[in-house]
Amino acid sequence: MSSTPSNPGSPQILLFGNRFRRGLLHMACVYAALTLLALIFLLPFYWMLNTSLKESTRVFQLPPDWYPNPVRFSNYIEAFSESSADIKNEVPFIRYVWNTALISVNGTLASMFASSLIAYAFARMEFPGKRAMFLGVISTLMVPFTVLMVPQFILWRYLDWLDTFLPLTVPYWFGSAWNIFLLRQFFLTIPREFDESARLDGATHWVIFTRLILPLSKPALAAIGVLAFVYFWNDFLGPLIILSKPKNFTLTMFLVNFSVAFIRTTPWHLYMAAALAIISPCLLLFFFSQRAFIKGITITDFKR
Amino acid sequence: MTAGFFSLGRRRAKIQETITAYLFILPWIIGFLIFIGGPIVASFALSFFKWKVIAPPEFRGLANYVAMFSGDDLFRKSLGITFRFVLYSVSLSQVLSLSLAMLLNQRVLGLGIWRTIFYLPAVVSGVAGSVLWAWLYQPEWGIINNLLEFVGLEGRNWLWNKELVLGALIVKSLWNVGVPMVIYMAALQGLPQDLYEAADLDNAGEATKFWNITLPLISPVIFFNVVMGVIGQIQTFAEPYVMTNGGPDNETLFLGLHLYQNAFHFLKMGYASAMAWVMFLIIFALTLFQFGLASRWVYYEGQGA
Amino acid sequence: MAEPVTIRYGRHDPGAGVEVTLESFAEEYPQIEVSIEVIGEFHAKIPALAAAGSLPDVVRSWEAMALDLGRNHQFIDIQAYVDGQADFHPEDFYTNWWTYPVEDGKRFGIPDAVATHVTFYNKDLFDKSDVGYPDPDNFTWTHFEEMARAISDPDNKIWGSETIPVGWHMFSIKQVWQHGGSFYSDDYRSCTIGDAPAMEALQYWADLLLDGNIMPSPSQLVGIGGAGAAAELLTAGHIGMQRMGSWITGGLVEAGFQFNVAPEPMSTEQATIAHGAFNNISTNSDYKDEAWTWLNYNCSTQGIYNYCSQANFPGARRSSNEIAPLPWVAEVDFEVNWELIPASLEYGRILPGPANEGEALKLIGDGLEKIYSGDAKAADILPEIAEKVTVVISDV
Repeated sequence: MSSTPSNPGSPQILLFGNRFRRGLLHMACVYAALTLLALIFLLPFYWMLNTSLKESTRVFQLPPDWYPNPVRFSNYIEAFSESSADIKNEVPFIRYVWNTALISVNGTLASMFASSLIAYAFARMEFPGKRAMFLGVISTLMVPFTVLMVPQFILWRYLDWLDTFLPLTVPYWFGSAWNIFLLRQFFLTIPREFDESARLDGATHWVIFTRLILPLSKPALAAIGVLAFVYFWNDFLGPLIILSKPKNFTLTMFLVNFSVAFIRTTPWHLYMAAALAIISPCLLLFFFSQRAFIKGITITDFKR
Repeated sequence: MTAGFFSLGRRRAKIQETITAYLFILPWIIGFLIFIGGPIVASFALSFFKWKVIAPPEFRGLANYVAMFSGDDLFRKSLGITFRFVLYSVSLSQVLSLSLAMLLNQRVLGLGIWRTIFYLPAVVSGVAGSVLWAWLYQPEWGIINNLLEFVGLEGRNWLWNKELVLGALIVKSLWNVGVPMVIYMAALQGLPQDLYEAADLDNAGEATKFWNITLPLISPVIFFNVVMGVIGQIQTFAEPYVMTNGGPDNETLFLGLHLYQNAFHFLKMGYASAMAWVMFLIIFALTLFQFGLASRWVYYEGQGA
Repeated sequence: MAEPVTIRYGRHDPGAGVEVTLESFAEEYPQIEVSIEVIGEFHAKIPALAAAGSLPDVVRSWEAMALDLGRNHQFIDIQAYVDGQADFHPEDFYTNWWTYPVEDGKRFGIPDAVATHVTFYNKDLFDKSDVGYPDPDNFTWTHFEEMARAISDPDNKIWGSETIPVGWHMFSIKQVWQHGGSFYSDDYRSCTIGDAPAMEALQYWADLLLDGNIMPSPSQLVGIGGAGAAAELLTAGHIGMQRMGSWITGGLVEAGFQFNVAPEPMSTEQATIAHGAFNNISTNSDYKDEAWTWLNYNCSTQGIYNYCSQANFPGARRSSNEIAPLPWVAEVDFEVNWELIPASLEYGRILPGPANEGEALKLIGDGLEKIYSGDAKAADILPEIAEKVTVVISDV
């Protein structure tokens, strides 16, 4: 194939692009694919939003309304004021937000910091028992939680940790298998020549880890942080099993209690409003933090 | 003499590296011993007992394991269902999430918004997402049937139809590709640009660049997503629990649900523990198999290749 | 004065109405503080709490669970407390509710509220099709089927009868009772679903369902499934007759059509489901006397009324059901046969509580699903299922 330089203004370049510019046709395809997929992905949310803004008597109309008429924004207030997980009404709603935030922020920080150290050892060091130990780490993810639940519950009771946040916060500071594995895989994509030359210069593992590997892994760490936050924010079974007193409840527990708090009929419009409101912090976090982990690191900079 | 000196030095360096390495992974060892090890040992021991949870356990030897393979048709059925689901769900979601990550890597306008849209479903995981999808699939009020009727097609009772129900759950699982997508996006961002520049100079096409540069470079991350996808999806629980309760006719009785029902609805915790250990062995074998296979297709930049 | 004692009261819901009882209790018994625990995922957490020896001092639990926890020594025998309480008046309770939580002479709990099923019907739909209303004194399945057929207009999404949502197998038991059968023998030691009355009744319902015209197809109403989850179609005006507990009246008031109440239809016997819960004291409680003080207070005439008036169903004490405004009555400007709701307590039957009920229900439910989807006839599979269930429930 001869690479005759083409006139940048030629129709061919405009449509298909060259190695420096993507053509119109190419970008049109990209946008078309994105739009179609986005519509499919958003459809469930539209239905949720639609339901959340309906008048209670119009929720079960057949055929259903394609858009709420009239639009009831007050559902969003009602959802949080009329349902309560606490019959004594002593727990302000903000308490659930605070509890959830506490567990989520702790979990995020723990996930980002604790696991990278362990992952580094598995990615960059040689020691006897490494393979077995690594399989051991991943193995902990393979035992179904269902059968660990009761023995663990007995353990929390023995430690006197039941109905406290300790079981939901402390263990994550000892590294979690998912994060260790993910970070190890990321560390493995970093060329080994970097740390080898650093080693020759006499750098210790600690220095290589903190000065070289961690800065290079920012996108991965940021991704882990966001994923962890969302995981802890939405965690349902963990808090549900551990926590009992309404003052310790999290937002998902508030949501789960929704159906039982309203004895009469399930208020789907309010449920959807509450669900949308509760997930919104995760969306905002993702939207504003994505720059942090999407900003590419150009490894070429380090090579020179 | 000199050779001996060197090997002595190397051995000392090796010992030192081992000590450092164990110091690095010490937190995990401590955490494991305190929080996970005990419950794991307990659940293994309990698999040899009859344990109603609300009554003291009674030793039964291998009875639970025998019952699983000789008397429990549902166990075999749930194995088959779970494998089919994992196969489709994991492979299709890799294709979808990597495609999305690559589309988003094309310097499109409004990137932040696109990315948020595709990530969005990941924040509605587990129970809340399952409730939502039961609502979408609902034959009368669900948007899916109403859309079908709108374009003149007949709606179906998706979750009450033996042929359709597993497919319906697979589609739901594809909606939740946000996590692997984010991981792929992070991986694509970390790729060294100089390789692409060099390929451009050679006039390589997009397909060539994808197969020869992108795929090998992110193969460790693909490997991660596949391994974790398999481990996670085999244990699928919330979707069948909330959306179908295992039906119709046990066509969505996933292993995780069968296990849960035995543990807490039937209070056969000993039997459930035995099942969990069989499940563990299956997942473990699958993972080992994948690690074995990995050396053939996963390319580690860090290991010099 | 002694240090105040804190006792834990665990229940599956926040229990609207109980806060009134808690307030007056706090005034009368300042030395006992009641801390409420809302136990989500009841089926998993109650056993976990029991295994950890950490059950709340007072637990409110459903029929079969109360018996099972009692049989396995997780709840204490409270008969002595009852006998020592002069103002307790056991005779005030409906007899079947009073005798239910007793096995081998041990009493494991005290009932509070009772939800019985009756038939709610949409008078507007009856009028539109020119069909006469159900006669409370003579309402049979033949009548029910005739009326349902006359009302149904599936093309316009109008159905004469409600459907039983997927997985709600317990609702089928009333069909069997009304035809003279049952799921289990009286001592819960053998399963009688393979007997003729049970098989006939279940096949009858399956045929109505498979007919495809008089009720919507069983749908997924699981998920957040609150107590009234199955009544949405009725409330939206698409169902002629719905057999359900009186808790749905609150939603019906806003529905915008006139409704009324009839008993459940009968075949050979008048019967319906009575569903409720018991208050129990756990064996691991360190404050059993204080726990009884609260339990007794909460299950008093006023305590039961406080909860029932919010939940819209009758109480297990007759005296609670005489306080105005009556809990199950909703304010509407048309005539409703409200008196049929407390009357149903006299013939309503409490959900059975055999040992290993969960596994038994799974076996029965799997069979029912096959019958209701037309894959099998009741007579072909139920006798075999009954044998299996008998094995399961006799392992006490």
